[in-house]
Amino acid sequence: MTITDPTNSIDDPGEVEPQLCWLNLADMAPHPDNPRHTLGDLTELARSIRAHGIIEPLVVLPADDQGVYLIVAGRRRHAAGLQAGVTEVPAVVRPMTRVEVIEAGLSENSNRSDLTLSEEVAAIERLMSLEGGLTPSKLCRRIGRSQSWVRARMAVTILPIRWRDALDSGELSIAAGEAAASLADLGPDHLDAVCEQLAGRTWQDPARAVTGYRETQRRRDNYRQALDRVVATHPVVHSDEHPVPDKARRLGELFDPDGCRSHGSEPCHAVVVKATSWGDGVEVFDVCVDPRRHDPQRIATAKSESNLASDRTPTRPAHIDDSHARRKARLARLSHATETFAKTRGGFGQADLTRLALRSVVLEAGRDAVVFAATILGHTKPRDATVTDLLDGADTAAALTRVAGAVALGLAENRMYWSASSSQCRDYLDTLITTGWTPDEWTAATLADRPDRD
Amino acid sequence: MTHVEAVASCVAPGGQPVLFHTPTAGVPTYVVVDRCGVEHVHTGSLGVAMTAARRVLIEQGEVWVRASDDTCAHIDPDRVATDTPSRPWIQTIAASNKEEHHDHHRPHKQHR
Repeated sequence: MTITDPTNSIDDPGEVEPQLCWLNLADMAPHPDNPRHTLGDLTELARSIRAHGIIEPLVVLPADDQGVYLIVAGRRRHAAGLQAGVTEVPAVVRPMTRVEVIEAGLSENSNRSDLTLSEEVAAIERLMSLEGGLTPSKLCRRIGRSQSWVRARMAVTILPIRWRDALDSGELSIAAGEAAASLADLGPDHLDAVCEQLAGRTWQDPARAVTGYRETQRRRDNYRQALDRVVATHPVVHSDEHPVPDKARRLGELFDPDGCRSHGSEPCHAVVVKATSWGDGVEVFDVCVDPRRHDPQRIATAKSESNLASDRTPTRPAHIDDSHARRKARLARLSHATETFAKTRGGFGQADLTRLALRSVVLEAGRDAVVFAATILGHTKPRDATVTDLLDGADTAAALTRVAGAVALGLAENRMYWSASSSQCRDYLDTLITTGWTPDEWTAATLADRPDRD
Repeated sequence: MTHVEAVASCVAPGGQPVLFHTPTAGVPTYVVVDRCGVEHVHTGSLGVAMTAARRVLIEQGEVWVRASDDTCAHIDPDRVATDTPSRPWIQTIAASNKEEHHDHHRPHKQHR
């Protein structure tokens, strides 16, 4: 290196030797490609320069046509020197291309961690725009950084400008920014949302959080698609946003579990779509929200005799919806077949079989339902009543129906809270009354308080 | 957000029009293609792809970014054109382009 006056015109930067000289601070200006945009606090540096002068030479380009030396390295020293009132400083005049200037600035400043993240990102973008064919892998070798360092800074360029600024302020870490940028394929709104989630949460693993966010979105989309499909094909759909009334749903399942699936296009039929937290995240099931439509009293008896061996469901036109009629006919046929079966087996009547079936149903209903039924049926000690006690003396079809109704009501009571506002229960009590059952005082009072009767 | 212009068919040079855009399993990958059909960067990060795309955009005035589900966006300095404007990743680069424009018009934070 020689110490001379700097040359003004340099045609080929590669062939000219760097020169050390003393230059006037007023003849220097920051290079526009310098990645550093913020100077920070210069007080300490100015105090040091005032005491000791500038010890390390600045690096500048040869003077341009106006005699201005553009500063490659030493911009803070230049500003602090002006602040300290220094006029002349040592400088190395070194010819460099624009790419070399950016690389030098990026390498020097980022190694000292002086640059903000957005300055580093802007410098990388500028460098890539100046140097053709510069891939991330080549770039990291040029500036002496790892590939992951470069890739992280390139990845965050897709973030909204608000969050790129947040990287500088430390609100969002570079790891969080890079993880958030991996959700760019979901759209700008999701980028914003996930950055919002990650901001300020340094304790959280960003990669894990982003994976969770993507999975949540996938499940939400699945649910939305399943809901759209069901809405397109069913007249009544209950979803997480519009849940089915709980009591109605339970009554529907209780009184007619098969019927809930057998009358798809009728007004009482509803489909429930629920988001769940496992699998595909969606559960779809049928319910009946109006059990009155399945009142056993409405089932007619078949006029003709049935033959179980040859009985088949007749073919019917597809456009006729007769699911209720078909169900009635099926039950009537089964009822008739049961009676025929009992008679041919010697002495078993329909009441006996019904009694047997009812016994198993009552046993399955549970102890609370039995106690409730015993209360309704007027037993003196309902707490001690057993299934046998309930069925004792119930020899006719009407008596068995009363027992069945009371047990069903007990089961309903167990599944939901008895309430004066439960119209389904009141309707069912009305049905029981029409079969000859006499309500006790409290139930009669509840029925008398029905608002629609007043 | 920048308006995404819908065009009849958006195909990167050297590619063929596709009838069906098959959904990708997991995170898609992106390829930056210049007007000569040269593929510059294959990456899973849209940010990396857009950094490379901006360089090609400065050099040639236009660039294509193709995703692994065969959707494609044609980017020039004024607009983003595609035949699948509803794709979220295309919405993201449109928003990113809009912000780049705004950023260039912001006063520079240089201290002299």
